[in-house]
Amino acid sequence: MKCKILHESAGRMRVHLFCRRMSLHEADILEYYLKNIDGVAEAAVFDRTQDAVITYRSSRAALVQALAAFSFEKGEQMALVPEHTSRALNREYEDKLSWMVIRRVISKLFFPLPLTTALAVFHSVKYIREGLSALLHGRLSVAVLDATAVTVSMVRGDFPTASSVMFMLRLGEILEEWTHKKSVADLAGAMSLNVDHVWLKTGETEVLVPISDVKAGDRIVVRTGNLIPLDGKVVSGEAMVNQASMTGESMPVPKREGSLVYAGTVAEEGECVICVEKELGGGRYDRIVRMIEESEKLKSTAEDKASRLADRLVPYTLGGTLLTYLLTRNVTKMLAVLMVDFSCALKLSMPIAVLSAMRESSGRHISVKGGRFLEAVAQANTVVFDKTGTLTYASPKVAQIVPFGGHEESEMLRLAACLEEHYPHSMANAVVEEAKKRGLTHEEYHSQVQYIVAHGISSMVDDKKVLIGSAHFVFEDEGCRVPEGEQEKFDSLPAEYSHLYLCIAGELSAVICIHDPLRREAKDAIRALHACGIDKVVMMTGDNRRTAESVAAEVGVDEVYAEVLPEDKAAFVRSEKAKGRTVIMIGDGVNDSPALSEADAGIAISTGAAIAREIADITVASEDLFALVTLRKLSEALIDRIHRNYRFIVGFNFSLIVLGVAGILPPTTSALLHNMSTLGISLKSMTNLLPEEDEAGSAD
Amino acid sequence: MKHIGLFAAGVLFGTAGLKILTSKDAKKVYSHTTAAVLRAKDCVMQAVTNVREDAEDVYADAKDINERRAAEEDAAVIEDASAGSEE
Repeated sequence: MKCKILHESAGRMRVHLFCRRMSLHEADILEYYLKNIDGVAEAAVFDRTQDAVITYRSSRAALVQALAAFSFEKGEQMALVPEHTSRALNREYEDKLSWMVIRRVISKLFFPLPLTTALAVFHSVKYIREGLSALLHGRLSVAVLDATAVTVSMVRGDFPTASSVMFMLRLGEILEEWTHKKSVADLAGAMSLNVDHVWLKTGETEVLVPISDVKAGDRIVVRTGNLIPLDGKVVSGEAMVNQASMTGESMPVPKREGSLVYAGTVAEEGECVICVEKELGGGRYDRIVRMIEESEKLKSTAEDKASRLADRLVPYTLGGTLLTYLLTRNVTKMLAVLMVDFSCALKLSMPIAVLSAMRESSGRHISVKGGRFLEAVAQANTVVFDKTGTLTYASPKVAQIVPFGGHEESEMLRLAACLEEHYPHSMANAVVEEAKKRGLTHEEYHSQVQYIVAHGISSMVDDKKVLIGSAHFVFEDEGCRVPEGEQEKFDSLPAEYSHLYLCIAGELSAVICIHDPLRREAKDAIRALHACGIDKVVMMTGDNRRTAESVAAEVGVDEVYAEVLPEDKAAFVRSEKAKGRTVIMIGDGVNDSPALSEADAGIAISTGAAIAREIADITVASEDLFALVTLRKLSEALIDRIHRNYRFIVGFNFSLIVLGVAGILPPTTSALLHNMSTLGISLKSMTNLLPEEDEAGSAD
Repeated sequence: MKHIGLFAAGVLFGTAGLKILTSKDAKKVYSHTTAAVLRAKDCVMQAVTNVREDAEDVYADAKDINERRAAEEDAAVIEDASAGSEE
């Protein structure tokens, strides 16, 4: 595209594009194309003037070339633009504002006095009606304040002031609406970018395709643990679906042929083929927007406090107004007090701060479902970690096999793999993988596999009872024993590995040592958590005691609980809460779900089970435990900001009142300053809380 | 007389006047006027955007100037120190 450089300075270039008119969509295409170029830090596109402003870090020549090579068709093909950008929203509100201002200018300059008076009266009806209805319901709310200001001006015959006041109020309303909608849109945009691939059923085979390629009428396959990506109807198969993200019900719902399923729900068990009804498009985005707007129950207590305080201040403002009038007999001063209401500032800036924090954490790949959970993270003093998959990478490998009773290593491995391949657990996978690696085949030469959850597997091979599982299961539950003379070998088994005990006919035949490597950053992350003020870090695992304790010692947790069942984890969380502590639970598997819902803030590592992610309040997408530290810092910064906003609003507006009463500021100026400060603090609340370190690809 | 005049004017307005104001030709006039107003608004917004871009340019230039000055001052400091140590 031919461009002309209008202005250039170090690392910044403003160009004018020689295209005829730029539509909003084309402006988006250009913006995302520019942001995609290497070395470009920021790009802003103004469609009205067909200009683009680019801030770049690396070579100018590369940028110039990219600009020359740009065309709208090419940009469209690159498909970089996300489903929803805020450009259309911004344009809508810019237009609303500009019309308001233009109408006001015209009316002030051209309309004769009787007309402006009539218009003022006409507009005032709405405010007076709202104020009256609030009074009738017994609520002294902000509407009453506005109505009083307007009525008092009109009663005095001061119609210009009345219309200025109403203009200010309308301006404030539009700005409030805009900032609120923009925050919600930003947040929803960030949340709906979790685009996946789905299995498309073509004839008899299945093909993995990007979700955007799926159309209405296509059939997709969903299996155990998968997220259902699109709205549709089940055509075959059966599944238990957890609809907590849609309806809030925690019990899974059975879905059969003919049942409708919704995007964003999780198939807990089973498999089904779904005929897609709605493609990826409005569906999920709109749903997220609705969820955000309706999440009253997710509003943080600070926000609630703020809005209740705002309403409670109204009588004081009215009282102050009256007092001013009585003391000074000066209506202008009284109006100055009336025009400064704390409430709208509080009611606007608090939710925005929370929404913006949620958006910022989204950009750091931490998805937070409500302000309440950020508060919980900031106040937390106990953190409970699950071991497998959270502190470890959950890709365990067989480290060594120690045979007992004269058995041979590879035979034992073959037997173990034969049993373990039925078991959907990561330790079992390690065994099966190792057998495969060593080329050991194992046809099904066992019969009746029974497995006892979290403990082990038992089966019959050649009429002998074979057991494989944890020490508790094998020695205590089933009563196996160590062969004669090998007790020493047994005691000297390396403790840092997890052990799988294989017993044939009641006698220990082999111990398979499985190495579940700790995450590299686990130790440092836990130290950082301690430094942030978390005084109790607890690790709970279903694994055996020795391994758990050696891991605990290495990683530096304060308390360790081993051989723990899922209900025990939840019970522990409950007991900590009863002690008055605020608890964060971090887990990844299905067996963490009860504890996750019990905790004040349940965090799921996103590489874990889909169900954990749906139940958890916060999902961490990165592979890095330091994300927890970032989350904590972010939450503390948010609480800080809320308190600072509060103090600023009360302080600044109070000084405006004092100045108004002292007669230094006329009412319109104080109203203007009040509105500007409200806007300013709202805009400031939309900025990032933490300094921008290396955020990998944050969407804007 | 005045009253009859007003009455007549009212009748005229209510019949012929309204007809003229709502006729097709009048509507065309309204459309053209509205279109002109919309164009005017676009013009104004374009001007506003231009002003905003120019302001950003000015700001960027100002930052550049300050950076260059700071860099020059830093360079000057180094020179002085080396001159002093030779003594």
